[in-house]
Amino acid sequence: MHSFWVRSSRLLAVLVTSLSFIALTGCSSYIPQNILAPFSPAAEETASLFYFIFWIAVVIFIGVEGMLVFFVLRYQRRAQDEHPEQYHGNTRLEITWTIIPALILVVVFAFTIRTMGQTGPTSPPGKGIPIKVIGHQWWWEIQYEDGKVLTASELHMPTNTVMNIVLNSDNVIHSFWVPSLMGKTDVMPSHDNQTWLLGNITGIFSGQCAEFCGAQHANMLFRVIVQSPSDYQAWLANQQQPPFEPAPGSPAERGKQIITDPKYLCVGCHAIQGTNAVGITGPNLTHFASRGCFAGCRFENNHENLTRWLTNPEAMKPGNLMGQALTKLKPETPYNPLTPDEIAALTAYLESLK
Amino acid sequence: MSAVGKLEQAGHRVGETLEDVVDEAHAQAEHAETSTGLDHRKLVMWIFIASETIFFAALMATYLVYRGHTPHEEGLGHLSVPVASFNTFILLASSLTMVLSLQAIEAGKRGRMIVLLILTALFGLAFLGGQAFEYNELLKEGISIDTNLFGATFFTLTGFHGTHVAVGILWITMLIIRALRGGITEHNHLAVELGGLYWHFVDLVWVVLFTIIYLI
Amino acid sequence: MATNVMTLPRTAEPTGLWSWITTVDHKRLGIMYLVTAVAFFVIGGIEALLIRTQLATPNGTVLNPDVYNQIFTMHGTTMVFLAVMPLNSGFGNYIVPLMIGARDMAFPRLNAFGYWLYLVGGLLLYSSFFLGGAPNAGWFGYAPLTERAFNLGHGIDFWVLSLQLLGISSLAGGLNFIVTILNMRAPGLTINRLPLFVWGTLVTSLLIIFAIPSITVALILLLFDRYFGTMFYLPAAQGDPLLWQHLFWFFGHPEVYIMIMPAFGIISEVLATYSRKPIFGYAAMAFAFAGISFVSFTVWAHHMFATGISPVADVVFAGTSFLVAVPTGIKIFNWLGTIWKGSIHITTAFLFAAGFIGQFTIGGLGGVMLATVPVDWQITDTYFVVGHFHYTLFAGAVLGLFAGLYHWFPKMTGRFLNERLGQAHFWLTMVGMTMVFLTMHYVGVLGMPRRIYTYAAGQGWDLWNLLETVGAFTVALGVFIMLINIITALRKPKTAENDPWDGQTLEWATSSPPPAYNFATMIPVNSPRPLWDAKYGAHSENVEQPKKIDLSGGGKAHIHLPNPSIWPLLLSLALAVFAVGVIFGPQTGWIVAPIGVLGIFVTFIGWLAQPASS
Ligand code: HEA
Ligand code: HEA
Ligand code: HEC
Ligand code: CUA
Ligand SMILES: [Cu+2]
Repeated sequence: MHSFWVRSSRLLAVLVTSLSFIALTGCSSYIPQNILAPFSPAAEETASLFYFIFWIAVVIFIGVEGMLVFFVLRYQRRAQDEHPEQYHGNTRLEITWTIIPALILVVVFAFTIRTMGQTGPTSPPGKGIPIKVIGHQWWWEIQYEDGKVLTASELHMPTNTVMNIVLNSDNVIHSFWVPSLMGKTDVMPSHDNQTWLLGNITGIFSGQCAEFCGAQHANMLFRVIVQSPSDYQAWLANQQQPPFEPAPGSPAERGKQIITDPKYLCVGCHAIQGTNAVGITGPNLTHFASRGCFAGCRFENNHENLTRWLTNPEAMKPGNLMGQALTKLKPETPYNPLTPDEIAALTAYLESLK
Repeated sequence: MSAVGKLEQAGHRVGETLEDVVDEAHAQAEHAETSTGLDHRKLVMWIFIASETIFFAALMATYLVYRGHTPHEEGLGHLSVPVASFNTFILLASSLTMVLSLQAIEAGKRGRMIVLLILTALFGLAFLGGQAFEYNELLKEGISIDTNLFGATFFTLTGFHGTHVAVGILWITMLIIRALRGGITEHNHLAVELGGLYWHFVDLVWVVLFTIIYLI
Repeated sequence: MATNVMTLPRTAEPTGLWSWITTVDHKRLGIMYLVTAVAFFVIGGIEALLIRTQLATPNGTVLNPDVYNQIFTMHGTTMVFLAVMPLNSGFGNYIVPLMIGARDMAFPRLNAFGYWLYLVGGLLLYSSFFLGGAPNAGWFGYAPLTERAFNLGHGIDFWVLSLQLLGISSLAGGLNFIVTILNMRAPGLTINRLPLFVWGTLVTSLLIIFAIPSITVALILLLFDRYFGTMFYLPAAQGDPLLWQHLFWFFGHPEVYIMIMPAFGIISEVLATYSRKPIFGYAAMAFAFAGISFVSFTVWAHHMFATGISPVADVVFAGTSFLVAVPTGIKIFNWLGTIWKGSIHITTAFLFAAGFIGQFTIGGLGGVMLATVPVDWQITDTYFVVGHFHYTLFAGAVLGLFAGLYHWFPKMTGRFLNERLGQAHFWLTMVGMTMVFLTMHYVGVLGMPRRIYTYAAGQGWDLWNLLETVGAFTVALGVFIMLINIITALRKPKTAENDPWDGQTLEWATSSPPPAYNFATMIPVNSPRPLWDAKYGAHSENVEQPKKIDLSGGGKAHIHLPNPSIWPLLLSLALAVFAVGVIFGPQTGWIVAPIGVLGIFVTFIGWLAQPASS
């Protein structure tokens, strides 16, 4: 059902989005969350189905609306004592407008079942790379290689390869959604759900948590970065490296000391491989600087944003657990507030964690 | 008789004293002709029971959904089928006495009805006693409502049923009081019928509960 | 035009505050329901305006996230439980007994109890704003977000307890309507002659009876989780949040039909009246009511397509959801058949009814798109859903209720609403509504999730959101004009005759407003539109000219009306004490709740001891 509509709308979407995003981020292949601008077979099938019933709906709509307007205009009362003929019904007509919608719905039902087979989260087109995605309040953790590579906010994948995804949460319900690639699957704390992704062009695809999950549900975004297999391999290899080791005496060194100093509490929530930071409440920071965005992907990962984050996470993302813990619940920590040079040291270190 | 009809009737009573009219209206209400022929209160009782059915169905569904879990099977082991069977027997007996009490008043035997109602209430109390015993045994084994899903589902389900039994006992007690004060007669015993409907429903629920908790 | 009123010597209707507090008159209670529900509608509307103001631009800063979450939760809960359902009860209370020729509801005091408990429940819910924060987990409160572990404050507790009270209130109303409609029909008014509004109320009440227990249980389990350490919805202890979803939607889906069916009924009456025609295909309409209600109990998991329930279940529930479109379509087409070749008098009431058909169809078609499983995987939890349900709830239920308001206002108050203001209200509503809710479908397709307090610029959503906000204020202006219209009308003298619209059903056969006893004379009923037959019997199909039945007993009747009673209010208050006692159980050492139980017991006995009529 690859209709003309899907193709042309996709073209339009690419045009519009690349225009606005070149202006915005300088990145020419950032795909926003339009379900009618599909970039994967599954999303395309779904968009076709959408158009299919959409046009059926339009026809019905025009029919109903047309009759309504026509009757209202045509049959207005002309005289106070006008009495129309008293029709009580018409069995033939009534049977007709029972059967026709029923038949239309049978067809829609058939296409629904067919498309489910092609786009269902539990029916991936094959086996590829298994990964695990975990929904946290309010950020996404992505695990590769059986949990040996832990990252956040950005899901990397090679083109033309199925990613078999297991979804789980240790808190409330979230929902994993990359509109231009794949429909939603809820991320349940009670059982593992599955879904899959398949991208056949490179690009950065926007995704977002779609089930209300508390204060910062609005800012629980992520990106899917579809890259060439070689780029993907390079990225994966880098993620498997131990973290960057700052030179003695450098500001980054100082940053590392602070972050690993238990009295600053960072180590209780974050992990940096090879250090005493082994927390799991917050994102793994081992290769923090390799990510393009942070804190639920709401912010570009740059010096300015990072400084703001460390200065006052609560102001940036009100209600987030780091801000709550550090600035609200534990006002006596050295964190609250960190001095500007502590922050400078921390950013220097974090920015070195490529 | 429809409300309109009643109005019409009332219209003819002009001149009668207020008391007469009141008595008449009460008597009418008991036997009033309605569109369906069923008394309002009887009809509402049936619909209420239909609603309660869904209430218990939802609780039972919850119980059954969690039945497969391991702590559940362990919890089941602590239940005593003989005690529960005895309880079931008692409750069924109470349904019988309830039926008989209605028959008694229909035959105009008020004293007999009161005795049977008292018996019914006592059976109800005995049932609650059995349940208390059972709860106590479980608590001694360390299983309470917050121990695990077995405790949670078991106590919630049987607890709500027990509460219904308790309400039924209160209801019957009020019937007894009313009967003693002469408020229930051969021709005015709808109250007993209604209480009976409720009581039988609660018993019936127990039979289902007994089956899903103790038998399957 | 012959109408059939003979007034009885009226025992002066009691006045004063106390008479309203203790009233058991279905008409007064109907008005109390309507006034209270309109107040809550405006409050819910103001919350909607706050939402829209926050979302007007990207990165809005009007509300902070937690307040936003409270506001949309309260907006949804208010509109569903405190505005639309009680509006339905209000019209039902006022009109149904009149339509079936009854003197009152079957259980007048139960009726009063339903109202007071509704008021008390609503106030309890709103008191949460001042007692530590309103509920903030959405109107369907998915566990485990509502569990103590993720939601510390008392907001959820208030939500749980008030919904329980409101549930009892709805049950009381539902029981009463069913018995009234089944048992108190005028002679000749058989079930297959019930006016469609009565049909709508009957099936709605049946839905209430069978749906409410499910949410009652869901809430009880949640309450136990929050207070007594059970783990029904806690995955950490093997509980399953999906249980909540099943129990909630088993109630929640019928609930949406509970909100719409009375509106279906209202617009059936309105269209027929102003077209001067009978309902087209009456039997099919009645059958469709029954069909929709029945099927509505089998579709609940279409709200859960993305939760990972099995594909087989998805298919089944998609199928039943499609099925429900068939009887709904029958209704749409039969309404069109009703105005076809009619003699249409375009009043505000008619406009709203026609607007209902036009707009509700959009909502319904959107529903069918959502029932298409793969499409739902894409658009569930986006603004497409928000668009869908406002098209069914606002453009459906609320438009229907507006139609009812303009239609029955003269009957209820003896005064007319101004038609020009009414039409302004209508057009502002239509234009505003389209701006808000049609665009929502589109931003949903553009990927905007619902329940987000903020969004970044540059995703193609900005313009549409701004438009929606403007539309929301347009709708608000319309509602404002409606309020002005009502208030000015009430200050004018009573000029409405008994049957201003050339009505067809019995409520127009008594005075406007009707006397406390409703009818002095009753006309025989041979069809769903007895008054029409009485007026034009010769013209319509050979119905013999009706004879009046005189109920007046020679004009000197002693009329039995039920006693006023204070117990319904007291029992409601006792229930509220119990609810508060539970909410603050741990803080108060659980002493208040037992006091509440005692109060319930005492007031209940008081109620029983008081004779119902004298
Ligand atoms: C009055 C309220 C109302 C009504 C009447 C409906 C009617 C319908 N709804 Fe809607 N719905 C809601 C209120 C309502 N809904 C609410 C409140 C929610 C969201 C809750 C939340 O998440 O907060 C919701 C959500 C909702 C979902 C879940 C979306 C999601 O969260 O992912 C679905 C999915 O199937 C759905 C489907 C339907 C269908 C198939 C109908 C059908 O009954 C519609 C039938 C009508 C028509 C189809 C139009 C007329 C028919 C014809 C003209 C005949 C010809 C038609 C065809 C051949 C198609 N609804
Ligand atoms: C019958 C139900 C109903 C009705 C009538 C409405 C009416 C409106 N709704 Fe509502 N809405 C819901 C039921 C309803 N809603 C539900 C169930 C949800 C889901 C909640 C959830 O997700 O949990 C929801 C969610 C919802 C959202 C999504 C929030 C989110 O997901 O983040 C939005 C966003 O725009 C919205 C907007 C509106 C608007 C603009 C109106 C307008 O039509 C309102 C019009 C009315 C007025 C504007 C009142 C008039 C006010 C005045 C006249 C004031 C003047 C007087 C003084 C100032 C004194 N609603
Ligand atoms: C209470 C636990 C906690 C503590 C303590 C904590 N964090 Fe965090 N941190 C988090 C959480 C949770 C997030 C994700 C917040 C979100 O996006 O909602 C986060 C996010 C971050 C991020 C962005 C990571 C990303 O990829 O999104 C950085 C950088 C960070 N924290 C640094 C620190 C530093 C430095 C400290 C100590 C000075 C610290 N954190 C202390 C919990 C914590
Ligand atoms: Cu996670 Cu919304
Ligand atoms: Cu539904």
